[in-house]
Amino acid sequence: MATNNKQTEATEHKKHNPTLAALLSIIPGLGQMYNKRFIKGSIIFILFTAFLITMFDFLSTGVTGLMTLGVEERIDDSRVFLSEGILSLIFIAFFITFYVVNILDARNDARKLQRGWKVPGMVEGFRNAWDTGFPYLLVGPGLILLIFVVLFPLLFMGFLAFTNYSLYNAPPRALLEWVGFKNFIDIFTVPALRGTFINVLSWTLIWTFLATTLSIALAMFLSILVNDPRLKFKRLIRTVFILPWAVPGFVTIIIFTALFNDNFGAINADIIQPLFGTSIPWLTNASWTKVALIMIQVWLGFPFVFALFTGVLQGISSDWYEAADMDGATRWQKFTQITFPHLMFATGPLLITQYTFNFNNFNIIYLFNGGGPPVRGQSAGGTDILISWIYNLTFTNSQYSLAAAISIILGIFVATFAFFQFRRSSSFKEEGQY
Amino acid sequence: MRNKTNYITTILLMLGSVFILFPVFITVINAFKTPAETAQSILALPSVWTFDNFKTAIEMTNFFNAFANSAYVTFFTVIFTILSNSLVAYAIARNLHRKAFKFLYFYLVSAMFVPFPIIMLPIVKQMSAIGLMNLNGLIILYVVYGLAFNTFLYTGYVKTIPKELEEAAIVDGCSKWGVFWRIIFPILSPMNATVGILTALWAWNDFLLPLVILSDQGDRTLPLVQYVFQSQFATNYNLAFASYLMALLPMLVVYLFLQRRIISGVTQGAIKS
Repeated sequence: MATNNKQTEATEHKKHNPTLAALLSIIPGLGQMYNKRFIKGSIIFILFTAFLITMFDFLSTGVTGLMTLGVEERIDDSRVFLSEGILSLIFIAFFITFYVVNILDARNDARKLQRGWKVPGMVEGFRNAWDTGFPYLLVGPGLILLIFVVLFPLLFMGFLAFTNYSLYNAPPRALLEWVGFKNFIDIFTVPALRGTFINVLSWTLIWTFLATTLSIALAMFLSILVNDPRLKFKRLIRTVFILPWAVPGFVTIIIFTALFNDNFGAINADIIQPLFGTSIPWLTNASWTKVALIMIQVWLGFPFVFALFTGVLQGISSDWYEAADMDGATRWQKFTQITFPHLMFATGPLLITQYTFNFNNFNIIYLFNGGGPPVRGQSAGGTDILISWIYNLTFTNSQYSLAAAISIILGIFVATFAFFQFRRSSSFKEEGQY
Repeated sequence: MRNKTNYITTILLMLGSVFILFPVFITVINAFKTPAETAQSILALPSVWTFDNFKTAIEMTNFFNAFANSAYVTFFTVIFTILSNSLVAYAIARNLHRKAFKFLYFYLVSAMFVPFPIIMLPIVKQMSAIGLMNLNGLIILYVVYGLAFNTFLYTGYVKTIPKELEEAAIVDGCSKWGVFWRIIFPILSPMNATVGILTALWAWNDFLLPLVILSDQGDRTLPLVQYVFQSQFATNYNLAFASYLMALLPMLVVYLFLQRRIISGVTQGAIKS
């Protein structure tokens, strides 16, 4: 009798069909009920129906609003339509995710049932849900906040790039319209705009490369020198070298602006003038402003890298160098074979963030000379980098759509750069392998 | 050979230090001078050390109010950042084998690469729509924006903590919540210190976010009030320098006292061992 009972149970398990459970879950909750998890199934069903009933109107008007961007001039505000549309899209994405999860969950439970798993009781079921759900609960609030302060604004700017939002066509006065890739095409075809874009982009790249590489090189050189055991006042020197890092960057930049002032700045008045009998137009000539900017950024940027390198250098075991000495390695060989690889391996990803930091280093460009000196006939100053140009276009010239389009181009740059560098740097690969 | 002092390098580095200190030196001495003295020579030491510049600067910038605002923002940002970000990173680090969490991790970390000026316009509109154009809104934004980088730092560290510790605690009847606060959080303290220091430096020194978020004059933080001098530069350096000096002094003092902690924290946190 007992064996007979077991057998029927076993065949019952075999008959339990995962595909059927998944298919039933097309109506959320039904698949779970088929798996005999009635409470779970009804909770899921209630949640999904509640969401649909309360949100359906908002979602459908949101999506249609996103497509039309408003119909009646002066009454409909296209920006509101855009925001609500994006919100609807985010909600829909969430809905789809949960929907798919619901189907997968029904199928998984059914598979487990097929293998002879017993449906847990109510208390145990809740405990299991709590255990698997706990990490999600911890991450949830941060995730949602991040959606609102990063993802939503990004999407907003992303959509804006495909509209015609400018000073002359601004809601609530006028309605926005979708213009497709027009803004992007303009950047590459309208001559004045293209010239500006190429100028700004090339200076951005030169700036990023020079300012970062020079500060890393200086930091490396100094940290190796300071690491020399035969050095006096080592601690004092280290303290001084890291000092610029402790001073608020923005204060330093305005102090430097004062020092570099063409007429009464200390650098012209007290150093260049007495020595060479002439003064350098630091703030009125774009090339000299660029030189000054790079020097200041090296001053600002090297201490952090210096601190990092010092930490790594102190951690390199002296065995390496002793072994190298025995093999008769030269100083240069010791540097290229031991010191340099150690430094790069340990700090690689952080050095990359230094490059991305300078690529987007808005503060120094904006505070030092406001991106100036101005250049005739273009909306970007002589030292504007992409990010400060975008800022000007948005906040001074109200060319919102154009600014958004350039933002997207900039975003693509940063994303590809970050992606490839992170993949290449070995220490990050190791991170990802968990 | 080993113990002989390398005088050439020492002297070179001392000269280098002078170069580093030059702007700081200019700021300090001119803060104590009168405009007339500065006009004579910006490099010379003041003949009479005067504190008038500081007095005027305190009045002009409403220094103590700004100081209190900065302290308020920095303090709560650091507290909330450490408490919340460590928790998030822990949850992610321990579940990285699950696809959903791996996705979350990359979602968080990629937020690190979003340049703030790009999303600034919508953020300002959003914050004003929900009435958070004030110090509290600023704190919320700092905590959330810090999440990306801090998760990156914390996750690396959590991975080095053996899982057996938590398993043992759970066997002893500790709840998951309890495991984190009683076992993991204390182990994280070196990283908490690093994150705390970096966050404090950031929140105290930041200029752009307060500039666009704070709408009320009385809410302005220390970096913001310095901006009044930007327009009056040509007329009075001395006043401006005195004010800058007061703004950067607190962090400088913190730095000098916690120097070793900061450096080891940064290297420990940032470098993979």
